[in-house]
Amino acid sequence: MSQQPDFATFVAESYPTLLRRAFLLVGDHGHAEDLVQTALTTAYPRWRRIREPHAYLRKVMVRTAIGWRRRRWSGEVPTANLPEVAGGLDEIDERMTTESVRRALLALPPPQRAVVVLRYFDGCSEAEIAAALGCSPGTVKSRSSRALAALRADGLLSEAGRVR
Amino acid sequence: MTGREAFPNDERRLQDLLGLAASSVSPAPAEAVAAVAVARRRAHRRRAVRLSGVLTAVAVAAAATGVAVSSGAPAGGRTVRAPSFALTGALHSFGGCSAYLRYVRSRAERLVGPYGLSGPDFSSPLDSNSLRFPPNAAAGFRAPLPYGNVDQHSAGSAAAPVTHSGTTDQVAGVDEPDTVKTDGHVVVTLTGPSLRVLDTGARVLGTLQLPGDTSGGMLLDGHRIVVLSATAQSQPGVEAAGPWPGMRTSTPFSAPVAAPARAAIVDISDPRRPRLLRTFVFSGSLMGVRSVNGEVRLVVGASAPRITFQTPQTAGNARTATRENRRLVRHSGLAQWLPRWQIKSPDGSSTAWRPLSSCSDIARPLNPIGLTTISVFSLSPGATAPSAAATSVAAGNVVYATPNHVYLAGVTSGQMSDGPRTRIYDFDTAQQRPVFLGAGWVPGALLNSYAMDESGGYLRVASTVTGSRGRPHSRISVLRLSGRVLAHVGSIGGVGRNEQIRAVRFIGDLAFVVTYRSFDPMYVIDLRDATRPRVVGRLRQPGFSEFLYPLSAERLVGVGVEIRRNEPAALLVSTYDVSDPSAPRRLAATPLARGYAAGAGGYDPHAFLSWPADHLVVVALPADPGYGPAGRRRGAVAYRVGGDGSLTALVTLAHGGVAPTRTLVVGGRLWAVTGTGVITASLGNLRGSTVWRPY
Repeated sequence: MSQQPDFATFVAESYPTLLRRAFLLVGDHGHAEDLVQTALTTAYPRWRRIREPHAYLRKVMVRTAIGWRRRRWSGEVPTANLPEVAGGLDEIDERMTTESVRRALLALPPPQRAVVVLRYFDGCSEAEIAAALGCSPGTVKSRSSRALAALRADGLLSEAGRVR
Repeated sequence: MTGREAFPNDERRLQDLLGLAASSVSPAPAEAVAAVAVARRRAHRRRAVRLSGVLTAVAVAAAATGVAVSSGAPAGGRTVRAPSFALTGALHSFGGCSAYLRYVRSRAERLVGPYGLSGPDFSSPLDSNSLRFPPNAAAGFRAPLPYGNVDQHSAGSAAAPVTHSGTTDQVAGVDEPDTVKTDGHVVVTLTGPSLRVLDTGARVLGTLQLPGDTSGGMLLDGHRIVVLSATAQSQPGVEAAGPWPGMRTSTPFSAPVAAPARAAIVDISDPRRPRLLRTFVFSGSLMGVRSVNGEVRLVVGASAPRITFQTPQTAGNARTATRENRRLVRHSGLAQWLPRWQIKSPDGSSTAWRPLSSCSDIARPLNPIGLTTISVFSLSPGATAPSAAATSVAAGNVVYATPNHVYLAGVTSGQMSDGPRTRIYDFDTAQQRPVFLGAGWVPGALLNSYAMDESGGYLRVASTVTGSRGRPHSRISVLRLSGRVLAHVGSIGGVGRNEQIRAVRFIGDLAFVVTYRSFDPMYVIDLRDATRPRVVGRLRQPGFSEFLYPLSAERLVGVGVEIRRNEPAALLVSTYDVSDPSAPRRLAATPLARGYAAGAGGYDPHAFLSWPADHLVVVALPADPGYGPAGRRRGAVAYRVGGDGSLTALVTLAHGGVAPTRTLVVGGRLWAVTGTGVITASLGNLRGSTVWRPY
């Protein structure tokens, strides 16, 4: 606990990762910032008691994101968000990829999305995911396979050559 | 942790895809600092609330983000599922005043600190007190008019104007503000606050001392002159220009706080008695001004709300100041945010402020970050109100205009790791009321407005891109408006590796791009196939041009810097034969003004004059003291360009060590304008006929 970085140092180092994870979880830049901010606000008062800051923030973020979706955003269909601007061919490609990933993720139920993000973005093990979500490893497994099936059906994973 | 190899193929692909999508988010370090501050603040507040037992921590956490969240959900229209993904809809409007207000409040609340929306060195830009005229300024020009105030000049103007030139503009038919203007009837000069009306014989007819900032130059339209306040300077490759919507930084208010935008209307129907009619004042800074057929188009960027923020000094301590400032932002009203305008009369009275555009018309980019708006509107010199403005949450400081479009470009720190990129906004100004058309972006940063060119429905843009390991190269992008997006049509990158763009000129379907590190490669890029621009020619020589001017389809004049022993040695004037784009040739080069060192802004095109009728080019020195001790030829030098491209210096125009900064042709004489007078010389006998006329 004593070797744990202080709050500001931790945030300075991991903010980009947190924000990226949040973006994948909520699919919107502004909401992602809000999600990170909420998680940090939750963590700050109890910082010295948190043993695993990364695991703790993962947990707060996925749970908050799932809760947000249920509580407030159920009426919103975020696919109306369209990419903002176009640029060079590379950038368009990148933008389109980003956009299709975002859309595919948002089409998943939030608990499945959380599993996908933790597993394939954060590289968490099933046990870690289960701990973050507060469910059993079996649930993680089934959510994960359902999510993959949905993403395959979406065509996201068959777009070969998109990613460099 | 699960390794990459542990996954089958499609799961690896998913990993890649998530990584790529996530990399579109790349916050600046300062954001993390801001997030820490907000977490601390909210935690303290939450603790207080929890102690009062009103709400659970979770509910408060939700409430703490509630403002931003609800503003993120737009008011209607978004619940329709987009039929399929398409690159359209770059921006949409806020769809209502309350949505706009929610947006700016929530964004500002997140950014506000003990000094308001910036650091302690921030000077409040829109204090209306600072807009007041100096008390005595008005008295000087309100003396009775002995000649009557109208139609004194109209008899004269019925006569045909004398042959004349303007100073050099980028686009034919699109006039740029400058310090000297003529219409062949009169010549008007602007030196600091002094506006002088001269007849075509260089005699001063009338003088007017203008109040306020006049450094934006002026435009002349018949009997009316529009004098402008300073425009924000473009700073290539520098992010000082401020709060772009995509700029990921916690200090989005470090934009240069120029004087509030002003346009003073002066009547010279009696040239002996120029009169200030009225001054339009706009909340924000002037980003650029152009004039087409007498219709003045202004681009104004509004950077901060009209809120008088607390500071630690006024509030007692930083925490109180921040709390108070957040409250001020939360309770701010539309009137404090909307761009607006008013008229100041010379007698000191002023009209009420009116909005430039209604808040329901403000375009909103997806995920806008900044709080600045850009308004494009037109102003007839005779009108008493500007047109309704096209406004967007946007930022930019490089303005390029054609007769029917205004383009605004602003560099942003990219969200990817590929360095800055430039956003470009396209406004249609063909009608009296401008309309926002769309936006797009190109990688890298633009040099100046000459880096943009519209031709045949395409916008071509030259940018310097920061490549891997910070190594620059140049790129030409071709964009076309598609829906509301300036969509990418074609591009060529990797031009001039490790070199910065120093000059760009688009001529027809060719782009001439001068880059520089130690040599001057001038690249010729063929744009006939918009989807596949290609480099067709290249010329290498020591030094570099900062400005290129087409004398004809085959001839270019370059004004630039001569390099000797890796040091800038002189201002250099060159001619080029570009009749064969694949083999550009330098025909002649002659140094001028030894000791000239390239200024930050490059050579000012307004200091260059081409008078084809007499095969003359005249090169004045930039007004800034960027060049060293007086060179051998300090002054404006007139050259005759021979049929073979040779340059023959005919005369150096200077008086008493004062170098003119502008030259033009008025009625058979070459004029060189200085701050204290005018030198003229007959075009037929330049050397033997110079006359000095002090003001």
